[in-house]
Amino acid sequence: MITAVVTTLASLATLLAQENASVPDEMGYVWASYALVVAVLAGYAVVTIRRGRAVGKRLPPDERRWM
Amino acid sequence: MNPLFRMHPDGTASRGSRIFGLLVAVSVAVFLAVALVISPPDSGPNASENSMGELVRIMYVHVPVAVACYLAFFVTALASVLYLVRRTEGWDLLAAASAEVGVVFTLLTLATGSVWGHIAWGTWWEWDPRLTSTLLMLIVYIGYLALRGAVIDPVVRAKRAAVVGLVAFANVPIVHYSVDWWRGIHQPATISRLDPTIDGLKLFALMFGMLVAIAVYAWLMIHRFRLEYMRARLEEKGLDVALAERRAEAGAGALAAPKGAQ
Repeated sequence: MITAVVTTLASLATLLAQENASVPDEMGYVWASYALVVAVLAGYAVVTIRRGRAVGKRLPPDERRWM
Repeated sequence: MNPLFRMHPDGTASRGSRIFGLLVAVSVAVFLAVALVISPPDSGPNASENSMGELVRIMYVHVPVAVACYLAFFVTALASVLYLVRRTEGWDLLAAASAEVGVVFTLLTLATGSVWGHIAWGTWWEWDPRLTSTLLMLIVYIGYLALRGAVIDPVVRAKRAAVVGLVAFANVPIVHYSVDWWRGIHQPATISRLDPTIDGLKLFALMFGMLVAIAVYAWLMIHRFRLEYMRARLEEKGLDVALAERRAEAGAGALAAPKGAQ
């Protein structure tokens, strides 16, 4: 999650820096939007799976079943 | 147990969720190809100057994530009602899981909308009715999650969260219809009417994007719900251990008292 957030912030910072230097074309913003969505969703998925593994390890095997 | 639903020994994944995850990943890849490469830029009605050009591609991701957040909060509200009626733990866990996933989708809705606004309106943020009500919705559901974290007793937490989850949903129709009810800079609905303002491959990209966003939501929900379920079991186990320890302490105290009296 931290990696995803850092990547996203870095891409946005790059975008803003570019904005000061030269105005990026529309596709630059489009790609940044898609990168943001994919990075955040992938990051959230990874964090959720890791949280699940961490919690699962603390439960006895007979309770590690889905309902 | 059906092998499709048998869980991985140390996590929330199962064979079924992995197969579904693979399908979702392929769908996301196809969607990205359609939205970013295959679909044409918008040329507007009769190639007018009002066309969105390449910017229309942001709509293919902005609208689907917004639809996913509406769906997530609807599931939270429905599960909250069902918890209040039936008092079954599963509904409370479902509401909690869906609210968290909904908050992630709402953040993405605001972020992609902000990028859109920067190009289309010349500003990253405007206190427009749609934007403001969406921000309010985000804050309310973050509050819902904070409430869940603040109350220790699982039954009290579930009851309070169910009431908040139900009341919070009142803002969702306000968000959706804010573009019709108040005058703002946000454009009106694109497809939720009989004559959508886009057609052809652009309409397909948007509709396919919605299906993919719902599939991503469903996949995230499988894992998030299982995580919540395991947490509840762990919490239950912790409470049992704490009660046993308290009883043991009380028992030891009762045995020790007569000795002290002698």
